[in-house]
Amino acid sequence: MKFIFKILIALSSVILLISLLAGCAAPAVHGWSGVAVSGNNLYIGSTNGSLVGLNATTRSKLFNDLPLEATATTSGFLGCASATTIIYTYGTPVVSMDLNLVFVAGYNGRVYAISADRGVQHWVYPPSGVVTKFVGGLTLYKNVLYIGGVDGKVYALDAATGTPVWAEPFATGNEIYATPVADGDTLYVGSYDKNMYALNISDGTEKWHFATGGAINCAPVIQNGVVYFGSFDRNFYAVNAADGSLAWKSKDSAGKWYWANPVVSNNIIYAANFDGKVYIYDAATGNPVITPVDLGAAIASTPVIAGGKLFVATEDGKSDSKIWTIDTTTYTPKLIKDLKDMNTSGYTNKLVYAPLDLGQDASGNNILYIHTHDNTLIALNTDTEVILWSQPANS
Amino acid sequence: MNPWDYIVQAMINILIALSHVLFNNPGLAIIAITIIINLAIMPLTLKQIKSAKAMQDIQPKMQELQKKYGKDKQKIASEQMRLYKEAGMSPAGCIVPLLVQTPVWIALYQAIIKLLAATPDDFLGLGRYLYSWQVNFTSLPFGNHFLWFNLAQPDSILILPILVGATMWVQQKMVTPPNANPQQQSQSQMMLWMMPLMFLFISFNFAAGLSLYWVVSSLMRIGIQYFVTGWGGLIPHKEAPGQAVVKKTT
Repeated sequence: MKFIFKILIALSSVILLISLLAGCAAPAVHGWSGVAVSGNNLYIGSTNGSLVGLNATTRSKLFNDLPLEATATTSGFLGCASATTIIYTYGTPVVSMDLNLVFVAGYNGRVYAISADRGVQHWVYPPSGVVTKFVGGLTLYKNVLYIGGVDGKVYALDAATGTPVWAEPFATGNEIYATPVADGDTLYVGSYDKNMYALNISDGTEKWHFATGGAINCAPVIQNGVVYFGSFDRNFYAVNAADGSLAWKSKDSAGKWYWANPVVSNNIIYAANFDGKVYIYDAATGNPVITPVDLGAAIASTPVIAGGKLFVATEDGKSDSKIWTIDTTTYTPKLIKDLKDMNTSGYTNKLVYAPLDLGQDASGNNILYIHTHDNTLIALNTDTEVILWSQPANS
Repeated sequence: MNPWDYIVQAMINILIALSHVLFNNPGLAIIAITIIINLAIMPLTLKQIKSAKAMQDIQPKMQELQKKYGKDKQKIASEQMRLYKEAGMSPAGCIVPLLVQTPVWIALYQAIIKLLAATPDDFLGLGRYLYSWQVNFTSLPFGNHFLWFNLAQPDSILILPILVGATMWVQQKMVTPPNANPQQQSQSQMMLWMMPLMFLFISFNFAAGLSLYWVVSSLMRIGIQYFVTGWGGLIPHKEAPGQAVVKKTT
């Protein structure tokens, strides 16, 4: 009996210790902001909750890193390390050169407008309190910002003042992680209620919605009056923008969900899937151009096309990514960089969830910008496929 | 993925499938998987309960041994083993089932936490755990709301943590016999309150989905215990084992 009693005491202590250790564990990293490129300036929503502005040539800071909110420190649980409130950013900032403002949405439920050269806050929406958590990115179109929230609503804000443009936000049936896309007089946005919506951009009323079998996470691509997007139901869709009728649907389902945005070039759709394959379709017919290109690991980051190549980042385990190219003529994949080779002390999570972004240097060369999950910023020349530089985004 | 991840992966996919069958209700899915897991390990649970009851039943004889052999520990130990053998039990009969159940609890806890995905990063990370079942991709995101609480967050109204503590206390009380030995009585009282209070305290900080699992699991255990041993220590007894009842005579 004493033996059993002692064992039970020991077991209880272990359970309690595990519970306590869970509270003492280092906070996880969150956020997957891409890099906004505006001329020679780069803007990133850092994983430590600040907006970073860099000169792309000199890599010097445009302004001191701007915390989106004054950080609050809370005391730890039973003596564990104290926790600091960090405002995560999941959407890539957007820049208005006309207004000289950078806009970024925080997971804390606020949208910020910050001067692009001095890093001074210009306005914040809402002026007090919060609206909803924002995961999707902002879209700037004709000086109006559009964004979907975790509350399932689409918001439209005047970019100069931050005041709502629509009488009320448009409500979908579930969370919105996707970034809206504007084209002409229509705003397109996918929701986790499994619908792709087309809204009147002037007042946010619905034109049509198209139902799929799964949640929609990606931003659509619109070309020649057709809306292209993938769904969590593992199918890829082309929907007529005029009336929301189906143009075509992929004949075979992919292995997992479509998380990343599709890319279109020369009437070819490149749809990267979480099963590690890039599905390549003829934009007009939906016929596969070639057998899906298998890169062997999940793809969450939105690819980009530059110089006749599709650049793709795949997850490689739980803390690393690989950068691939797929030739858009031969569709041949090539591994150009394993990012774990770039790990340094304190920076050992090279997962790429953020979208890949393109800019140009002073000589007109295409530069690929990669923002990794450990907040490292990498610049790669797309022609030579050589890493030009890398540094912590906040250094 | 390592072997442990495969176990968690299986539980995640089963939870999603159950939710799909049970009206897309994540709370019902957690209740269902709790019932399934408890039924699967019922042989171990029954063995544990019977072992504990047998241990209680031989307590008077154990006390006699203590009195008879005094400080001869070797003799006491060998006589105890004889008693265990006669009763058809082993000292570890209570512990082995617990050691088997604990990894199951931990795996289910991790599966619930991953599936409820408190942050977008957690939701994205869920993708690597999904089987290629169509139901997985049409059912996500997994809803978080059940009754009055958010399954991914601690129950702010504290009803669930209290239920966790209360059901665990009833369970403990049922297996705690009255004892004439003051020292053992003290130990029993400590165990009666320590575990429920500890789990109640943990429940304040853990996701409500896990608390829901604990409550359902405790209720099942109470039911099984009742069918094997009755209400046990929950019903006050007139006398404790080994305690003589002295009748006043006039």
